[in-house]
Amino acid sequence: MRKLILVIFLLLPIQIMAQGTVRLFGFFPEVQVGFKATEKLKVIGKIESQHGMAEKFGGEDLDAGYFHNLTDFQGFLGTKVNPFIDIAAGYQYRVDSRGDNSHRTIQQISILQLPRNYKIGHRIRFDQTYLPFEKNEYRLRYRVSFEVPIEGKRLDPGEFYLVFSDELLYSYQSRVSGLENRIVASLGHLSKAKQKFQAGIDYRTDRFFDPDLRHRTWFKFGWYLNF
Amino acid sequence: MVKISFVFWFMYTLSMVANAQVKIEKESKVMRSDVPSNAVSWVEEVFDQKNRMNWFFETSGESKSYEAKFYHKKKKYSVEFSMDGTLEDIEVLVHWRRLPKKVKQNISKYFSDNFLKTNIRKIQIQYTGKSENLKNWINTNKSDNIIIKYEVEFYGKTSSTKKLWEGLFDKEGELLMKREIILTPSNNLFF
Repeated sequence: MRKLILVIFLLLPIQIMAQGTVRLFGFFPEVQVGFKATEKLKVIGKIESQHGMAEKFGGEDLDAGYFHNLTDFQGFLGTKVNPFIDIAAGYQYRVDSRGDNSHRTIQQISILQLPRNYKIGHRIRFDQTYLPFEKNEYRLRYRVSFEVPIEGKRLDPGEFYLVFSDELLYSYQSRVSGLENRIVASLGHLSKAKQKFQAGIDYRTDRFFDPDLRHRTWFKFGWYLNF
Repeated sequence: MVKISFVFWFMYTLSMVANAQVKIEKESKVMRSDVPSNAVSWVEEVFDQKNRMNWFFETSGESKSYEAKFYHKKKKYSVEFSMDGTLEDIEVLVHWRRLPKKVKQNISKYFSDNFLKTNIRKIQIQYTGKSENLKNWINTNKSDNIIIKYEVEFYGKTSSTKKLWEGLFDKEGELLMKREIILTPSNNLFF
């Protein structure tokens, strides 16, 4: 089972590259730390960084080489409405390799479902991006995630799990609408109940309304700590 | 070099803090052949089925056990054995409306006395006793010499808290004990 998952993860980007549609491929590490500031208030800090390894434009040859794409620094304050519903508000500062560093405000509501032995997470997020040389961008996002244990009937510490998610983003900027889709498939490990590691593929498509549909594939690996 | 060392030290320290003071519970699937033969033969003989039976090895702190999970006569069963194959208990998943009237009344009273709002997520009837008595109960439905308890997972809201609980109630529906259910973190799904 583990070998099969590994093979899928390793072959997926190669398969996508072979179709000649990938514009960007790289690595996407993220670190997230969450802790309770008070009984009701939770603080989450997150750093995620995109590092490109290859780019391909239209019919041109693949341009392989490392480049830093962007790094996001995020902070959230959240509270639980009940064990299944959380609301949070956050701020992001983005360091962009093109120099367009930006600020973003974020509001979200998340809903957890526990149907059987797996989790379903729904996230509805609004964000507003304040760019230095462009008009503000507003986005409405919905993400559904499935976390499925692969050892035993429930996810226990020391066990592996799979995470699949799909997120649809609608954006609005300068009277122009945009759509983006993000699919993530990861293998995760729950370590000692308070930390998770995940590694997988994050496949993004956007510019659906433009002639140059963009595909981005990231090897994503994350470290999630919860205190 | 100093910076790299600091980063590794920082990551190691965070990891150690995350691992501290955690009760480890683990359930992993095992082969039928890994389970004590007396446990396997007891379940297969009493419930008269071999197929569609899953075996698990469970550790909870110092406690270790084997558990068979399967469907029998459209009900979901969990049968737990000690490491030497001695029967510990049988749990059957049931719906609230299947509980005896008296039990429902008492559990409802406990809920209304202690919570503003409740929502039951799961109920299991727990049967314990000698293996002969439990075998007799399965075959004849006579529950003589069997201890019956009700394990209820529920969401409870008070004026100050909103939590998930697991309550253990006796055969009359009186609370014996309750503990908070801590869900594994879901930040990876939401941020």
